[in-house]
Amino acid sequence: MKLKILLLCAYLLASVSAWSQTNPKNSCRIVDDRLVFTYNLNWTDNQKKEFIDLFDIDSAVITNIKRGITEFKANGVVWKSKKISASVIEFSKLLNEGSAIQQTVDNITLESNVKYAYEEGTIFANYGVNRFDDEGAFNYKNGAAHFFLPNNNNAKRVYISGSFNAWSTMKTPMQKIENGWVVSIKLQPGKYTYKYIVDGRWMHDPSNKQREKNEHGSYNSAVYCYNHKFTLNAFPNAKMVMLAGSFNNWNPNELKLEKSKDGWEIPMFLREGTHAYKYIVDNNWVLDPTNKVTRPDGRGNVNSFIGIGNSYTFKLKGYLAAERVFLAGNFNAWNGGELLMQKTNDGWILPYNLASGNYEYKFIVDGKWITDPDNPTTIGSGNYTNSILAINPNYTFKVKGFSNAKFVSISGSFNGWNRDGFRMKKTSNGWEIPLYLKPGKHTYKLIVDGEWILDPDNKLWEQNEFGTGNSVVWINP
Amino acid sequence: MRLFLLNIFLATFCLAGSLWYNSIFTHKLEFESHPITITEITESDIINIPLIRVGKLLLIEAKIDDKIGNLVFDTGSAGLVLNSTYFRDYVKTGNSVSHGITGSIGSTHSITTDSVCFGDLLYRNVRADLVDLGHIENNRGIRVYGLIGFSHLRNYEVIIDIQNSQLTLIRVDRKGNKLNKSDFTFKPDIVESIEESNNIVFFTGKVAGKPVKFCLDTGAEISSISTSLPRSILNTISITRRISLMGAGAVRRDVLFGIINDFKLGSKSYDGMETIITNLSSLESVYNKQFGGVVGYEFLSKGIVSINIRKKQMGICYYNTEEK
Repeated sequence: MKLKILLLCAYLLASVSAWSQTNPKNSCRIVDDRLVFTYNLNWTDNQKKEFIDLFDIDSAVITNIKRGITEFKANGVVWKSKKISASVIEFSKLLNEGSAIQQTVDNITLESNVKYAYEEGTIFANYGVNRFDDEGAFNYKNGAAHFFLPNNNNAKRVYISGSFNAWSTMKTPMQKIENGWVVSIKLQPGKYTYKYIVDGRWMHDPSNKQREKNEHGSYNSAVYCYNHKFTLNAFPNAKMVMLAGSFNNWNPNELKLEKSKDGWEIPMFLREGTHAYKYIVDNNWVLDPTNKVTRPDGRGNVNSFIGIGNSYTFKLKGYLAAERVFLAGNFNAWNGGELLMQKTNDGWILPYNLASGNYEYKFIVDGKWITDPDNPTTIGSGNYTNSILAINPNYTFKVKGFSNAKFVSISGSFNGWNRDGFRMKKTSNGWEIPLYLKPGKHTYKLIVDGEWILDPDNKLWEQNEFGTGNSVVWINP
Repeated sequence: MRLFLLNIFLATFCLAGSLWYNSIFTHKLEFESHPITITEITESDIINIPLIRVGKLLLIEAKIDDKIGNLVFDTGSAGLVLNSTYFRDYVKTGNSVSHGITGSIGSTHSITTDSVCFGDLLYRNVRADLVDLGHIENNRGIRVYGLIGFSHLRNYEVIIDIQNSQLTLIRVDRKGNKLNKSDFTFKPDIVESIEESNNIVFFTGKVAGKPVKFCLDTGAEISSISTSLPRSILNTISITRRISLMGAGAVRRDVLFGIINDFKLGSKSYDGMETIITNLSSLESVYNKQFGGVVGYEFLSKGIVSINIRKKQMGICYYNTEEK
């Protein structure tokens, strides 16, 4: 009997050993106060790399064990090694040698979870149409979104919490009315996610069929604040009219127009920018008869085009002797032969639709790239200088003084801590630059004639890894 | 987050014992500096507080004087900690002893806020320690005003339901008995006894059949287990990853990640709980308690957990479907 047990134990040990010999993932264990690694010389290069990556083994350790050295020191740690078989080496160190640094452990743990940051403000969406059971549960008029939660008449307090108020549970109370609760919130067009909080308990909007699973496995309600209505005042006798475009990947079966007084219509949210589209009238693809802006798609089709959002007119004064002037920037992947500007009496112009953001651009005058001479805000230096344009800026950095400084720039999390920063414009009492900043936290520093300093006019700052601090600004959704 | 945040030993923070049932709850509260008015805050024996979840962090929105922002619900924190980014201008009212990660002792400034308000709770003249929490904000993209644990919730049975993002407080008497037994029913699958030391809660589970004392820390995004546990326990931990870091004196130090294969609480088995394996001795000296591990988010994701510090009891009602 004892022999059988011994044989069984030997078999199990051999199995474990064999398993670890073939799988780098299982090649580390704790044995009696020692951290023990099993290294198989017959592993493939990929397996050896996986082992080294998983367990952060220094190359000096691998070199020593391959040489058959049974005890050695590497990076201040004493290692012991022994050969198990012709191809398998076991090496180990004391478990507690060099106690773990807890702060670093903490940072590692956090770093691996960065993806969890929640969304604030408008949520990225190309387009969207609402799906409410009860039409009175939501409407959006004149820049205000009106939410109505029916019933819950015995509740003491109801709040709405969503991406528009940074998921605040306290800031947006609803008002009690006869048959439910209401609230109006000023919102920009776009997509938002939200929930109600009834006497401290979360609930999604019971009238809203548009629900999105969040990172925790529960659901948030989603709503669109519209900014456009497609109208087709034609084909009154058609049976069905659909809309398809670049925004919905030309899906012809998704967006159905409703009959209107003069034809057909569909209100919706459409993202800022330029979109191609067509109507499908009883299975026939047609251009929008009231939209003169059409462009070929390069594959033999012509589509209608629409621009949503602010149209910004780029202007270059002078250069009237030039034959052609193009505009290029990071908004068109710096394509220098695409956006041809129109000649006017005193220069060149090009109206162009851009979403809110900060953009870099240049003009190309008969092949020569130049910055915008009328725009003092730039990034970079020398030949690598680009002009900076903020569309719908929502924050202006202002700093007083430094009147003798040659240049004042700003660099931070919003421009990837660019070495040169965005060069600010000199004003009568200091320097300033208007920028578009996404909702959330931004850290930054000023660069005054090459010296990086905290913003003296901002008392919010936090410590950085250099011990010199970074200024902090929060943008509310 | 827990491990280094919680190193702050709020030695002089002893509000816990002085919290009492306060009639101010019956008053109308007006937030003058913010365009909202919270009314109808009434005396209540049951308080529901919505938790905001960001990754594995649990946040409670609070109003601290005139500022509204998030506090991390962090039961590994002995008292209120506030982020120095937003509160550094307050008059420093004292110093607390801060134990560094390497055992070094430093000094942390304390401030006193006029009021801290969350849910239906309002506290006056609250002492807090100032710590720079900028790294949490930067990693999470959220504004964090501070950390709060059990120190302000001792008069309540605290029910943590992370699947429904819900914190429920049930007022208890000095012996831990609920003042209102009819309104709320919580039927735990298991009930275990707990120990409490300086507002930190400990319970005893079993790893590999051996008893191990754990700290319950809602701010711990990953569990941890001590390298000083007996061999028979550590030998059962699977090591899945190691990070070797350069420490002081050019000596490399390990951070080990692994799986606790055989963790039991009462009759309930917790399979494959992720952990780091680390030296917890400095945390033990901070908490002035010997223990073998810390559990947090993953432990809470198994079920609704109730903590009654007065009664020294923990109850768990397990979820039917575990959150992934």
